Amino acid sequence: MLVFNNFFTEYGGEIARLTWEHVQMTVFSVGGAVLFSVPTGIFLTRSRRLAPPFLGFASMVQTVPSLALFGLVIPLFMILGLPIIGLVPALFALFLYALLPILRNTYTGIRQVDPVMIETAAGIGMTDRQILWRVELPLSLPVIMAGIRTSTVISVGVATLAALIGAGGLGELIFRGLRTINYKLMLAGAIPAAMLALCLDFILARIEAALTPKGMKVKR
Amino acid sequence: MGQMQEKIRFRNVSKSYNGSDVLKDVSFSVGEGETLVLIGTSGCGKTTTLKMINRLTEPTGGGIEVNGRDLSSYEVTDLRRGIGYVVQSIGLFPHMSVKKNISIVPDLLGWPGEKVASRVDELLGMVGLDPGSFRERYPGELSGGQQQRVGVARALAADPPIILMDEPFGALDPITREGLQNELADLLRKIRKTVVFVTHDIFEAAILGDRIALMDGGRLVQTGRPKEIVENPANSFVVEFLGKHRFQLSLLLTDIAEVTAGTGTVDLAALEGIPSLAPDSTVLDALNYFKRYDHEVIPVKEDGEISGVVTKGEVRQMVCGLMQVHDAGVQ
Repeated sequence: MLVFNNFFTEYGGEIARLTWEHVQMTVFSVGGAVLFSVPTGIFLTRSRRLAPPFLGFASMVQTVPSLALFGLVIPLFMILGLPIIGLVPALFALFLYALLPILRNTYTGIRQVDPVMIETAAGIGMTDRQILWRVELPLSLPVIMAGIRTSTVISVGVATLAALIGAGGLGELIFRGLRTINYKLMLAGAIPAAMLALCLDFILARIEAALTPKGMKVKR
Repeated sequence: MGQMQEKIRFRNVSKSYNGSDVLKDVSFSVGEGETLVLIGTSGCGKTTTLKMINRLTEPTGGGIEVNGRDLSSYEVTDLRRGIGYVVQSIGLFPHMSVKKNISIVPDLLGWPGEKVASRVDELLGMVGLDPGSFRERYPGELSGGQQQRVGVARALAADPPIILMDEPFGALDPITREGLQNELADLLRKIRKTVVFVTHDIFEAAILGDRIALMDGGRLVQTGRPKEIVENPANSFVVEFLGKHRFQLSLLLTDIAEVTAGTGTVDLAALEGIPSLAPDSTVLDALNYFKRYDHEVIPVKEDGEISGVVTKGEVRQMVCGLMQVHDAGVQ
C-alpha cells in the first residue's frame, strides 16, 4: 500500500491532467465525427448512388493501422501547411478513425426501417422531413447510438497513440513507461484508459436508453 | 344509388412498370358513402389501383379524379391528409403510443391538443377499445386484432371523407378477422364514408362491399353488387374465382326477407322470449339459428316488435333452390 501511496502522491496530479486531456480528445473527435457522419449518413440514404464511395472511403480509413494513420496525417498536414504535431493533427486522425462506425450505422440503421412503414407514413400525409424526424430517426436511433458507442471505445484506445505526435493524453504515461521499462507508469496510463472507455460507454448507454422511444423497449 | 355523388373516378387508367403492364385500361367510379371492394388474386393490380388514389403510385396512362378534380391538381400531402389509410398491422408506428399513432394526422393538420385528446378517446370507443386502458399503450403490447382496431381509428382520426384499406385484416387469425369484418361493416354503415377496400377474401368482400370490382391480370373483370356477381358471373374467370364458395356466398348474400312470412297465422305469444333475428339477417344466419336452437319458427324482430316469421320449411326450400342453381352453374 505504501508503494501505491507514494506513487499516487508523485503521479496523481499528472494522471488526472492526462486523463482529462484524453477525455477532451475523445469527446471532440467523436463529437466531430457525429456531427459529420449522422447528417452524411442520412444524406446517403437519400442518394444511394453516392453511398458506396463514401462508405468505401470510411472503410478504407478504418483499414489503415491506427499507428500508421497518425504517421500519414503528418505529411498531409505538411502539404496543407498545418501544424504537424500536437493536438490538431491528433484530433484529425481520431476524427477520421471515428467516422466509419457512425456513418455506417446511420446509413444501415435508416435503411433497415421497414419500407412499408415509410410508405404508410407517406400515405397518411407526412412530408419527407416529417418521415425522417418522426419515423426513420426514432426507429434507427438504437443502431446509430451503437455506432457512436463503438467509435467512442475505439477512440479512447487510439487516442493513447496521440502522445506519439505530442498531443498528450494517457499515452504519455504508457510510452514513458515503455521507454524506461517502468511497469507502474505503463499501468498508470493503461488502467485509466480502460476505465475511461468503460465509463464513456456506460454514459452513452444511459443516453441511449433515455433517447430510445418507450414503445421500442416493449417486449411482445 | 343512381344519383349518388361521385367521389372517385378512374378513366382508362393504365400503369406499366419496367415495360410490363400492371394495369390496363381500368375505369370505375366510387359513389359518396359507398364501399367498393377491389378483389383478385395476388398480382392482379388491386393494391396498385388503391395506391393510385393517395398517389403512392402514379398512373402512366388515363386519369383519376377525386371530388371531380384531377388528382394531379392536388398538393400531395394535403390530398393524403384528407384520405384515411389502413394497411396490414405493420402500419402502426411501434415507437408511438396508441394515442400518438391515432393523433398523427390531426397533429399534422394542427388541431389543438384538447380537441385531439377528446377525438382519440372518441375513436377508441368507436372501435371498441377502452380509452383509459389503451390510450398510453404501445403497438407491441397489443394483439393483432387490437392493433388493427387502432389502425382503423387512426384512419378515421381527422374525419376524412375517403378511406383506403389495403388488406387490413390479412394478417389476422380467421376468428378475429371475422369479428372485425362484421364490426367494420356495422361501423361503415354508421359513418357513411367512401371506402375503397382491397382484399383477396371473397367472403370479406361480400360482407363489406356495397359493390365488388373483380380484377385479373391488371384488368377489371366485373363490377357489381356482391349478389349480382355471385348470381351472374360475367365469364368463366369469375366462376372460377368464386369456385366452390358460390353456394355459401349466395346463402350469405340472400336476405331472409325473401323467406319471411307475415305474422297473420302465427301464435305470437308462443314466440315471446325466444331468440330472434333482425330483418336484414341472411339465409346463412337463419341456418346457423336452426343449427343452434331447436325451433321450427324464427321470429323476425324490428324495433323490438315481431314483424314476421321465418319457418324451417321455407328456408329449406330456398336452400334447395340455390343449390340447384349453383349445381347447374358449376357443371
